[in-house]
Amino acid sequence: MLLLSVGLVVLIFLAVMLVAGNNLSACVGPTVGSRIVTKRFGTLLGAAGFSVGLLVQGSGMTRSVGILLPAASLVLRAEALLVAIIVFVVAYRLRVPMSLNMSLVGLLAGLSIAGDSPLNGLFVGEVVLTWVVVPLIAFAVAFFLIRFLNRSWPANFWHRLQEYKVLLIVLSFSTAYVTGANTLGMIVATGGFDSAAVLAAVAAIFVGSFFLGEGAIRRVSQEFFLMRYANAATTLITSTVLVELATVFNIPLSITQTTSVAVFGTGVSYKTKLVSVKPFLKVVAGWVIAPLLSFAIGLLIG
Amino acid sequence: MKNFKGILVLGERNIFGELSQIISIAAQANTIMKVMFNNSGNNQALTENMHAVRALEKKSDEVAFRLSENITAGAVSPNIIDNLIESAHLADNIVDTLFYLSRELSRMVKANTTDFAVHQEAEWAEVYKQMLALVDQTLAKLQQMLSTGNVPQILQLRKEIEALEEQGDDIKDAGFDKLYSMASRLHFLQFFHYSEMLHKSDDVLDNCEDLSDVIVSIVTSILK
Repeated sequence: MLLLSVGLVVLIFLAVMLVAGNNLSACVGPTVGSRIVTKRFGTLLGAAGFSVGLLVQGSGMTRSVGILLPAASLVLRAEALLVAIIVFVVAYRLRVPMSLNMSLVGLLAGLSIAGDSPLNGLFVGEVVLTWVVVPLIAFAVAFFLIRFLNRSWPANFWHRLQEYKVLLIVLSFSTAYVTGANTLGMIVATGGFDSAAVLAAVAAIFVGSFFLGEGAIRRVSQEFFLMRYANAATTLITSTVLVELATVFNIPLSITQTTSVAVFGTGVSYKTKLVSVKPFLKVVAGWVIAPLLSFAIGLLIG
Repeated sequence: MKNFKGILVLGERNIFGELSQIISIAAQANTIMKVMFNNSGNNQALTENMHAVRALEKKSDEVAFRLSENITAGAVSPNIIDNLIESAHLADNIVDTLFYLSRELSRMVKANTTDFAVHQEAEWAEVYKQMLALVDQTLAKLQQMLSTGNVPQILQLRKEIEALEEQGDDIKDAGFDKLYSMASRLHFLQFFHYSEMLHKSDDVLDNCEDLSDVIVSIVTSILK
């Protein structure tokens, strides 16, 4: 029993470490890429945001896990986390974009059905609807917000530039915060959300951010920040607001889902544009495949 | 607190400030050039002024080199780095071209050994002084572009610089018409010299106009 509890904490540590390292670049990439802050400071900012988000709002996701997997034994929780980690690592190795959050939801639903637990169809429906509707909202918000911002010249562009830079720092933190509250909260909630799990998760956030996230920051910040200040700010605002709303309603929502669509939305809002659709479609395919594949695995192993 | 202040520093604004230094150097060099054209008969004064422009050109090179370093290492959005580096090159090219003009003038005056050649040099100096007057106005407008944060004003200044450059083109074309009409009476060296001076004076204005275009491009890239 003790061994299983320790093993569960280790799995939480691993899952949080991977997700923190993977998502750090999406949260602080624009700020680091624009050289507003150094890579080290950006990593610290992201890790702090993840931790605060997890501690303040992360426990709300226990309700979601409770609904998806009502009779969750330690073994079942450990199985879910282990499979989610394996799926995530395999997808990462195959360079297929995959959200651990979506994968985990599919897995829990599969395990629940396989274990003859009463699955809350309404909640699952809400989650699926959110995953379909939120990207559409993110696209529309990003599209129109960037048009609104670009409709006229500012009175003083140096002031506007300074506002963007400060805003990007705040948004980097807030995006990390909502990721901590939602995605990381979901992982820790799957493990039980006790004090040991939370402590392990906070430690994993810092380990993952500093040892797994820095390389990705360099790459993503350069790619991400081919976007302008306005695009980056719009993308992060959209992601922060939508993921926070989902968190308030205890619905798991991947930050990469909102960010990818918002990036696409800002890109196509320009009259003259050269947008590469193929990588975006690959990401969208990942959103469909990840939960369905995980659901199937959950059914098989449950 | 120091780190927080550092975060609020705008790399782009610092770079515009350094660009402005090069434009100031160019304005000084242009003033010396006007003095040179006013004293085109005084060999010693020409040589001294040419050395003064050379010193300014060296100073401009140093500022441009430091500026390029700051652009690649500073708090600057990567999507405008290329434009900023181009702006540093263009600003430095203005001073380089003025230095070329000063050398050409100084060298040719020494070769003007006949009364006709000396008279011609003084006559042509009036044409070049008109070009330099336009350069003066253009440099002042570039300084305004670099110091203001008002985007509509920047766009207006770019239009004004474009108009000045077109005036420069007209002066150059009129100069070439005159040059070709008197070509048979000129030594080949004189022909080459006047032609080269016309081209290079126009190049100064072209560089100023290109720089104003790049500044607009940078501002647009930052904001939209």
